[in-house]
Amino acid sequence: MNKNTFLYISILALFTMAGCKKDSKVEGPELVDIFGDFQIMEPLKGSASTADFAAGDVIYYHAKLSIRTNWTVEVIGLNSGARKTFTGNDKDFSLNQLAWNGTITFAPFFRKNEPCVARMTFANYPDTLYSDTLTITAVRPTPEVDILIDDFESTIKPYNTFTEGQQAFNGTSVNYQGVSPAEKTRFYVLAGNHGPTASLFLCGMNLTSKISMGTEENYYQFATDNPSKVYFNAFIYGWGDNKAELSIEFQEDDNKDGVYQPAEEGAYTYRIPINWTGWKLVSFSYADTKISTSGGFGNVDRTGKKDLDRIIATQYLLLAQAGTSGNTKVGIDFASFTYNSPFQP
Amino acid sequence: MKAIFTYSILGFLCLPLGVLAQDKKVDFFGSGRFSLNNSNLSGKLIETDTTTARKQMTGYSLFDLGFHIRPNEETEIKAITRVSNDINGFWGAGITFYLRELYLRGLMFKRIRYQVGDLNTKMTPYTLYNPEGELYKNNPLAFNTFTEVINYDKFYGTNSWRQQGATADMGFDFDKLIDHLHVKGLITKNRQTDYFSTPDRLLAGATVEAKAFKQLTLSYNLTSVFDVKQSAMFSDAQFKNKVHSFGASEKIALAGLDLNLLAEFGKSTASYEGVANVPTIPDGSFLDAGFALNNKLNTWQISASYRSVETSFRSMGAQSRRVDYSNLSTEYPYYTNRESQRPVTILEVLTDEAYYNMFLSPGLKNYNPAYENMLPYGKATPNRQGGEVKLGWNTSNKQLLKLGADAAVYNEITGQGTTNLRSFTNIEFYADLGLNELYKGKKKLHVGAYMRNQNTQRSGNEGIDKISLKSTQVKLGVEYEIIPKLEFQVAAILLQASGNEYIAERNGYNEITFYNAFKADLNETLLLGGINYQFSKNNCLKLQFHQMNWDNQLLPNNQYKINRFAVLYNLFF
Repeated sequence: MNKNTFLYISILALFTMAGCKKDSKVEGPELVDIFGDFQIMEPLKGSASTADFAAGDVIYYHAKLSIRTNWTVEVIGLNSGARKTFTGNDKDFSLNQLAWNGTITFAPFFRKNEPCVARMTFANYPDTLYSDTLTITAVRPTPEVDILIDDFESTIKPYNTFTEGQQAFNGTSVNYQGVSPAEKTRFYVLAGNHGPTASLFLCGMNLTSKISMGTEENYYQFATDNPSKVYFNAFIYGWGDNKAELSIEFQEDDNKDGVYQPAEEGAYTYRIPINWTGWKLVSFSYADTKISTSGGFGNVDRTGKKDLDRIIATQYLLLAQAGTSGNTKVGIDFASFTYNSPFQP
Repeated sequence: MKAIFTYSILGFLCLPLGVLAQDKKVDFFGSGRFSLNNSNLSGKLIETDTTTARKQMTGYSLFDLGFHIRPNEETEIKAITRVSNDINGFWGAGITFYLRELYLRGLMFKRIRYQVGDLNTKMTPYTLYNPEGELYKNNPLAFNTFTEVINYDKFYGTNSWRQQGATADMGFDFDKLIDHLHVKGLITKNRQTDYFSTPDRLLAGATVEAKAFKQLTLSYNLTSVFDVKQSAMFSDAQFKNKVHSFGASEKIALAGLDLNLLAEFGKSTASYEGVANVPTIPDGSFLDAGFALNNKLNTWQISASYRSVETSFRSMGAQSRRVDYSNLSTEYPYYTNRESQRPVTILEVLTDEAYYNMFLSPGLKNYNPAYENMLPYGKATPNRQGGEVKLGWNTSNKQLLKLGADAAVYNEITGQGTTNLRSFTNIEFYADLGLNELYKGKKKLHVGAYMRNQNTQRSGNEGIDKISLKSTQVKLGVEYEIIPKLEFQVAAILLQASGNEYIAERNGYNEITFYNAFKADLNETLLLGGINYQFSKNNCLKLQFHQMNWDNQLLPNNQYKINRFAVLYNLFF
């Protein structure tokens, strides 16, 4: 038995393998469907030439390609410059997949009686497709946000600002370097200068919930304690220099004594590399935030969890992306919380 | 059957027994390190790149202080604290202080060994195993301290993953049929819940190993990764991944030869429960069988093995990768005026621990085909079948000469996006020569050389499914002892890759959803020169000059050189 044991086991193993289900012959999508000849089978077209978004109209865009490839469709307001973008890689996207209800990705907003055109570009091919012009007869009503953190319209609101070194600007502005606000008349700017080996932190602004709401309450009054159902939203302006990163931080007063103690109480952050030009609407759920990783700055949470009902302040930090140097900046406008889904103006 | 309980002397817990036998109740140990890299960027890149700083200085100093505390003969507590300071952290701003390691271990009932707290977990290459990363084989000795630092900081140990939890093991001796039975169990926490949408994830494992007839070892290993239901109140999703593995090995003494027969086979299951519209993941199986033969003097060795791992085989504990290409390098993380992420080079793989990962991943993470395309997830790489042969020879004085050659041929089992299958060939040669042994010189003069050629082919239509990718690595190292303890070291590593591949994009369920075309016409050269002062076996100072040249002919304007002066002082005590 001794000498033959290994043989028996080997035979058993081979039989086990032979008895196993065999894999199918092809894994994943067909390569020919991605790297075959690229052709436009049907041009880009919208489902209508006018849209009354106030009445709930939805425009469906459609095109048909010979292969799957990465594409971007941008609906551009020809007067306002507003943009709504869609990305995908389908070759025959069904009408339901590219449905536009008048919302924006990049501010400002689309305007009444504005002509719009959809432009389709491809990551790997130089072709560009344009749809016929669409006229917006009525714009989509701007939905209400559930909690407005700040529209940065006030010139006297006591923002708590702080900086490290070569700060250039930290406050609200009507028109900063030729940039108009995304909403109304003012927006907030964080700007600073940094060297290649300097600290990544440039400057920041802290806004307590009490000042934000203008009431005596220390904390935002959310209708739910579920972090996955609460979305933070803001228009973020990028100057396209790929140097800035915005860290949005939510400070939780874990012991509810009315004072945030960074060494003992948790702070949850969401970091956004600013790699675009223009006003982009950024939204994320509170569940997507991560606890601060900075020792003594919110990395210890007394309750050990995210507590929406203890958010005592929101903080906005301008960080430099690693390996960069020089001036960089970011704009913020119309920061808000919404329930269940991101803000979709 | 008369069974006699005994404690086993197998596995990693053999250390505490020795420690427990010591007299002192408390002793101290630790490590200290200082690392400084002063780098300069040059090359064609800087003609067009006006944003990347030309010079960068990075580094840190750290000190680990560890305690072994033995409150009684059967209990030991180990704790290591770390204080580290970045080179750019002035006036304490860059200081971090934390507990690096903490566990308690000991004996219960004088029979059961246990450990709670931090654990180094390892089973077999298909169940729970930390496969080596790219470029790990036969590196010149000039790089060994960098490798030791990465392995120490990331707790890689001997192919183990650092986890937190509890383990226990015990052994039984028998007087009939089975000589010895060893049983081990572990449970560790793999992921922390956020209490809302991300549940806790645990890893449980068990090993049963029986030795019989003095020569035969039979084993069963099980790993089970599962999400804990109701640990996140707004998520019903539950990921489960189980791997069953059966192993056998037998040592046979032939005429003047030692023959070791080895086999392991098993099966995996994976599922996502409580989520709508999830795909059904088929079970996957694997088989690994082979032998190793050497003479009694161990001056030559030959081994061969056959391996088949099905496409659907999933083992979170064995398919997680060390090198994570999505991380940013410590030096020059971005380049070009577009501030693109700088591609990983051999300099980073060998010296930058920022790329090294410590966490088990449920998904198959991306890899760089130019560095490793045949077995990017180690032996447990899915969708592979083939075999390998290894030959080794050395003189009876092992310091004099060692020669070896490895050859491997693998195929895919399932085509990716086509019915045509990839085939892989890999050939390696290495030599270690102690020249001073040859002429009986007193001063060490060692030369090491290694060459690897890896080839991936797939027939098909040009530009659609045809693949031809070749990569070659050459490593050379020379160390010369100038005076006792002081060595002059030079090394060169060359990597050349050319051809095309397709990199699969996978969704959260590991299904391939898209492919990205990958092309390479890459030449990387890393040259090193410096000195090493070896204060003692565990204490050295390295002063080195590195020159890294990265030249991708597909991006000719991005060619660059990094000239780096590196200081590394390392001490373990």
